[in-house]
Amino acid sequence: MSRRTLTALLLVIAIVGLLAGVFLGPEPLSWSVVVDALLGRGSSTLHRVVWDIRLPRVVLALLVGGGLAMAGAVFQALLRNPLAEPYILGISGGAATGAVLVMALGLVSLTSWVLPAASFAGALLAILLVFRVASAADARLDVGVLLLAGVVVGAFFVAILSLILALSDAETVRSAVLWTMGSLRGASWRTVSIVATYTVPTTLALLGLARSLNLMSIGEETASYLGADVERVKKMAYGVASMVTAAGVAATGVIGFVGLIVPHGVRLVIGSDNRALLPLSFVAGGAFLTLADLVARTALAPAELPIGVITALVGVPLFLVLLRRMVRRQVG
Amino acid sequence: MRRNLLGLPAVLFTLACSGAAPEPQAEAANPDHPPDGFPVVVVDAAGVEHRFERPPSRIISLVPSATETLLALGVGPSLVARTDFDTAAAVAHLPSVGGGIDPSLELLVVHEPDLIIHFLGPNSAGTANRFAEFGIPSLAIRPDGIDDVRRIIQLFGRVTGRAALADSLVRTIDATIRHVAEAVRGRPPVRVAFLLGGDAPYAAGPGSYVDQLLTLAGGQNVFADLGQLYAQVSLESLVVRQIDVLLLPEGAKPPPGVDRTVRFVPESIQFPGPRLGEATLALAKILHPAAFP
Repeated sequence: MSRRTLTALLLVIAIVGLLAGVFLGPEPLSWSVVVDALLGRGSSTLHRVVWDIRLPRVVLALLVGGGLAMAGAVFQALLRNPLAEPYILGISGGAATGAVLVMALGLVSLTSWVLPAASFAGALLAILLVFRVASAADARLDVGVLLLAGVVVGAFFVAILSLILALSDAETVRSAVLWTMGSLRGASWRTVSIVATYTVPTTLALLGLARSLNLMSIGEETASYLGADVERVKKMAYGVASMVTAAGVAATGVIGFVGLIVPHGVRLVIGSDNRALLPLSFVAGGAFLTLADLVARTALAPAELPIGVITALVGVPLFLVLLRRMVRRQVG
Repeated sequence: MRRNLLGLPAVLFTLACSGAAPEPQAEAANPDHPPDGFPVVVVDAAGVEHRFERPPSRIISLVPSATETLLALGVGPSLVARTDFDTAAAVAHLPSVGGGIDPSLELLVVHEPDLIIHFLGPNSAGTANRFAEFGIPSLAIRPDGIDDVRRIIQLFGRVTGRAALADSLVRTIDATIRHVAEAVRGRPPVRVAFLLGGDAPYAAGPGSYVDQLLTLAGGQNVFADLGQLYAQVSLESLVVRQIDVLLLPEGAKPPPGVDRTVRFVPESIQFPGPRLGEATLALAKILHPAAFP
């Protein structure tokens, strides 16, 4: 499949996902009713459902899914490791520890911004910690150390998290588990605007790094000969991709597999030129999460499924099929 | 643990009186002027003040025990939806909005409720803010102990304009509790544990609703030293501690290797609601059969 075909296909899927997310939901509404609500006609209740519940939710799914997938692509390029994903540098561990800590302290029932703020702070703490360790030797950022430090810091945060949970009551444990499985139920225009504030500029910044990341995939030394400011690129890519992840995780909890599977899937189809891989990963990740969220809130309506369950259940088989086909083609 | 740290004393349920007299202005001319006793101002478990101009007519309760209280107050016809966890037959015909802690916002909104009752939990502020954003009045409740049950009944009574009925409901409960107390007076407390069943059973700890019921029913909770309302206990402690009666909800699996007198009680006994009096009586009859000839 050519790059152009894939681009067109992904854009179509993203638009279909967006429309499906607005037209379908736990409450069956007819097409004409939704169109009326979109145009500002009809009852104020339906207007709310469409404009203030469904629309912000699909937009948030696009932003978070896109951000996670692109961050994953960047981490895979930066760390030159196919297992890299947005949470690999301890970000989810830090975010989850922050979130569960305020839950266990009973602070979350006070105001609604405490939880996202705490998880964002936890993620930032993990990011800084890992960064300090990886750049301790000299001013250079060693990606091998970065990866190791990330995994270890993540494990440490998970231990703290488990300790907090062991000391907490059943109710906190339940809320914490729900949070770590991820959900877009908190989507509102306010959440969307906050996440967009982080995601849009960082996405543009990462796109600007695409060419340098391409050079670095050959090797850091070669890249510096070819004129890339390797240290600057590494720090930028690490910091910016981490921020995207932290903003996403603060808004929706930990949503796994999008950042691992989507960039690999795109790479399997179009190759690893980051100039195409990064934007297409964004579109594909956004489309994927929008559709996954649609399944999450309609499959067992009125109950909602954790979105992490869908991203893994649907994403993994889809990815394996793609992987198998590509391997076979290479052999044949 | 979180309760202590939160310092959320039960006082938060204090029903702020409607205090300031309703301003007798434009509303007087209004044909549908507020019914007797309204407007009503109450403070919910989150410490938020709510003002009701008239009794709500489209209520959604996200807490099953609160649903039972509303039914007991006779406002069943005003309920417009239920959760997946409601067991009361009177609401079985209503559409569900999903779970009580994680309901579908969309389904809540389309029912156009004018009151939502929700649980004050570790992560309920976000939900409550969304209700406020959509202009839907909501009350946070936290039924932890029997005092909370009384307060919630009275809170709902005021909000729904049925304060007298609520008072009489509380009086009936208190009369049953007094009756039980008199019956078990002077009898040595029965050492009892209430478990939720399973291989690593959860036990009711001190201050929990069940613990309070057990005490009222002439029992002594052998797990009064747990640090939490409900916590896992070891099989070893079940074997070692002197337990006269082991209580389990119906359908629960007794822990393996524990040969104690096991008695099953209706699951509803652990839900802090209007059946508080009945639950106390049922427990007392199990613990002190001789006291109720």
